[in-house]
Amino acid sequence: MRLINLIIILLFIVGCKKKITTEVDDSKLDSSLLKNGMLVLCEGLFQQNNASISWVDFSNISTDNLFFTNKTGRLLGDTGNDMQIYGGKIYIVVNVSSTIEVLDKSNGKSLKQISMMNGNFAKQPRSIAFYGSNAFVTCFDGYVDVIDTTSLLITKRIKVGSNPEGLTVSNSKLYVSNSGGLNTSKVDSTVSVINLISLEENEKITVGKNPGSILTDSKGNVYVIARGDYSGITSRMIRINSVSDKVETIFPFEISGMENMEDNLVLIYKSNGSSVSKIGIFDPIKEVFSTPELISSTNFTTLYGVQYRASNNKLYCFDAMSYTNSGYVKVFSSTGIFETSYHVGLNPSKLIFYE
Amino acid sequence: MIIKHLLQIIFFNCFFCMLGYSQDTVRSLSEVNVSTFELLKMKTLEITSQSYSRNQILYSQPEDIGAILQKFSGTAVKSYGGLGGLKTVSVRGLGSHHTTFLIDGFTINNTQTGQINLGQLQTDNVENVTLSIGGRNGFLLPASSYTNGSIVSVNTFENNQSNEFFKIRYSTRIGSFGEIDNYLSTKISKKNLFLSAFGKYRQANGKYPYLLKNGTIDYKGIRNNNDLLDWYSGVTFGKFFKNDAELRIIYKTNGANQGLPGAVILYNEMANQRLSTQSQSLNLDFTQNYKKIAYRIFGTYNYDWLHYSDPFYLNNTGGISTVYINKSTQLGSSFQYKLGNKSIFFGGVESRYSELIFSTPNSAIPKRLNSFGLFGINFNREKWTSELQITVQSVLEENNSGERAVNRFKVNPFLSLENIEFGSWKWKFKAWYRNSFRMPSFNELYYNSIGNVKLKPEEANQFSVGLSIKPIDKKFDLTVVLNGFVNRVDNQILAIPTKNLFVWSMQNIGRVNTFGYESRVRIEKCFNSFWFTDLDLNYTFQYSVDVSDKKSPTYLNQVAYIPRHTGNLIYNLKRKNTGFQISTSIVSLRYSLTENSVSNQLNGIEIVDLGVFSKINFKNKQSLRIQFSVKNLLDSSYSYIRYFVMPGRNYLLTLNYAFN
Repeated sequence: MRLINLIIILLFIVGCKKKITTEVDDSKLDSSLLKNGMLVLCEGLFQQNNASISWVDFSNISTDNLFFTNKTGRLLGDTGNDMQIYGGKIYIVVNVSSTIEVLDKSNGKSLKQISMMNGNFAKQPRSIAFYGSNAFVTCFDGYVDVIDTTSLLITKRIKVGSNPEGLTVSNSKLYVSNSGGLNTSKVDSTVSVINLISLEENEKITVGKNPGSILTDSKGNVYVIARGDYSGITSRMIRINSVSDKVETIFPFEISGMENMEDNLVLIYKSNGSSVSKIGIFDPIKEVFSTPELISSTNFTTLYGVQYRASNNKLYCFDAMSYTNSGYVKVFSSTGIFETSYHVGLNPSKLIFYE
Repeated sequence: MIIKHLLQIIFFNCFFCMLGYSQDTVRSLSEVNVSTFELLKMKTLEITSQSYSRNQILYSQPEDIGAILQKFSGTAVKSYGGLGGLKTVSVRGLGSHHTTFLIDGFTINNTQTGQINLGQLQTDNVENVTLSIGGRNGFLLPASSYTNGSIVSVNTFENNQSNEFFKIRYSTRIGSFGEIDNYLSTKISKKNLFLSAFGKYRQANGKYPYLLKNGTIDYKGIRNNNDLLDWYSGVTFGKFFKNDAELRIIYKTNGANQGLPGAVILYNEMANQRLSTQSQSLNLDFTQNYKKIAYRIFGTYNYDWLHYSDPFYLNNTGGISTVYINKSTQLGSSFQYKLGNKSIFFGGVESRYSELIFSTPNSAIPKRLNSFGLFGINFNREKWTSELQITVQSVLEENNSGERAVNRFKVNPFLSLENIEFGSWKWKFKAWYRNSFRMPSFNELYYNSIGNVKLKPEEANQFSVGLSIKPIDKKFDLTVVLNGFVNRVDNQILAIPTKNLFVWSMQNIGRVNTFGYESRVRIEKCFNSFWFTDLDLNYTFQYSVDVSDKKSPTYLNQVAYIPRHTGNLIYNLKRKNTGFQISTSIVSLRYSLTENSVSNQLNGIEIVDLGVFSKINFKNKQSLRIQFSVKNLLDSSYSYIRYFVMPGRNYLLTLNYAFN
């Protein structure tokens, strides 16, 4: 009798074995127009193919964490690194899968998947920026790829430094941070300056070890974060004058993230002696924090980034939840008051807003 | 530091010398008695141990020891796919580092990784495999083998003397995906010695097709960079002396050259990483058994060379090519002493010195002196048997190139209570408790930026109660074993991103509780002198959850890759020397991360294997056995680790020749 019971238990387990529900019904592939919401790029985790895009609908406060799959019928891939909008198209840079997904801005439908393979060799794209009719993509193999935004074909490869990451346009030039991040103790320290007319590298500016995030402020100055070596050499924000292409200032605080906020910068930084990051507003003209602690780190499990939305003057902060749990986008007023949060996918890092 | 090492060695060797004197004292007593080897041997504790015999291995043709352990209850195997690929086992929710592996009574260890790749432990020469949880299952085992949560013990054909003067074992296998194996072993046995020599060669291209669900799309691919060429060989010499004494010398060497296919990455099929390994080991031991006492002195030297390469890694030097050399020397002794007629006192000491050399500049050069002491007593009373073990362990660390980990000293107890079989149903109960820990491996402590020298040891507490029933029935043999268990692991060691997604580090992550039960049923029926059938069934339930932080989103979530339900069914039917086996393994859905969300789910696994075999006996004690096996008969698409896809239906033809 006991034996029969055991067999029944085993059969029951087989019968009850749940099937994963990631399959998407074709009928859900909709082409409805996107409005009043935001797209959230969730990077996922290395070797898990779980990069994703969440759609947050502000009108009914609903979240669809399978947005990309519902729109395209397939998965985004492994480690989404950047998502930008340009000329009616959304460009999503997927690093480990080595692809750039191009979506129609209006409805999210796939226009093209650009393979960033060089034969069997993955170029590992990281970030994207635009100028004129071209998109520029940093590739970890030491190049910036130029993509025609109409044909969506790669037209040129520009040799830069080691493991380029961020890139920004200023004064008709493209500034590319060369991290050299895959060289462990011998990381790169330079920013490549590319002439956007000739599409050639002009020079390299030495800024500090392991440069990563890079942006252009409202005055045309270029700011780059040199991340150091995560131990003895701490991170620093460096300002480059885009006219002289010289390093102007090295700011004396540890920093992990930056974002434009009108004429100011929103920084994720650590004040001297502190081990905890916070979000402050920095005046780049006066070179002081106008608001040293706008948002405290106690609001987050893992503060992973911040993005400013000019249309409603709010800050959207990313909580990566220890990097291994699904994350949140937390919304704060310009005075640092918490307003709401949205539960999204794994490691949210970029937003595109729809008004 | 060196002085501390010397003190450590002196302490353990003093005990070793004292033991030597006690042996001399007892030896005089033994002269009037015959050997009590068998009396001193601990009998198999079936409630807490499971075995797989040579015949079962032949029936199921497992590709490695991992495939055998998967058939046991309480285990969860992680396989990264393909022949020779990384395969580890977790027992009762404890990580793979909590299991000790013994081959022919010698522990095998890898201080670099802290775990054994079961994919490289092949089964051609294996006589039996035993998994013991909460009890000893061997005689004069090294003290270090008592310090972990569970023990897998493997005995090989080459390790024992036989009654015949000359024996040969030969097997060849031809399988799907270019698999070709050849194994040859010979053994000469005389009255007071034996000598065996063996060798094995295996190759496979590993290009198996797989099916992957990509959203609504079925993607069919071929596994790339999954080729394997490996070999092993060895010589064993055994010499018997008066007073039931035996000397063994074992030399083994093995090597492998294989591709590392990695996870299937959507839209990117590039895979270029390769691994080459070469290992050599020398084992020596001397065992002597008297009426009152038995003792063993043993020593081991291991040399492991590992080369990892990735020619397309995007650094300035044009890829990665790194060599790791891991050397370890082990010296120890163990004994058992009979106290009166009913109790046994046992113990042992052991020291293991390990070092790791990285070829990359500015890397750590870690060294470790790990010393173990064991004291145990087994009380046998009329109706009950109880056992107490105390293990003492010290770990001294050095790093010639940078910060070192903290030295550790730990005392861990084990206690068990078991009744003697009683009644016509042969009821038997056993309850036990074990406290143990595992040190972080060299990789976890020192590997480039990932290692973390601040890591604490992972602590484990296990409590288990079980019963077995063997009702006497002339129609068939039935054994039923039920176990319930509660485990707690503190300071669990995991690799997680820390600074950002690309900067990972080893960290101690809170606490894991496991509540579970196992049930095992075995039925054997011999219809007549021709027909024989048997059935093995097991089922395991493991509620293994994160209890680190009530505010965490993973609180009370099932731990990553630990299935809540696993089950096995193995059925054999044999007529004389011909028969078949059908077996199935079931693993319920698992999560790739501890957050139990739908996006982290991995489908459950159902695998059915089928084998048919026939054995022909020739004159002059020769036999030839042929078996045709179909693995994954239902052609299931599955993976143990997310996106490390496993092969679909595949075939294997095996020929075994034996002389004597």
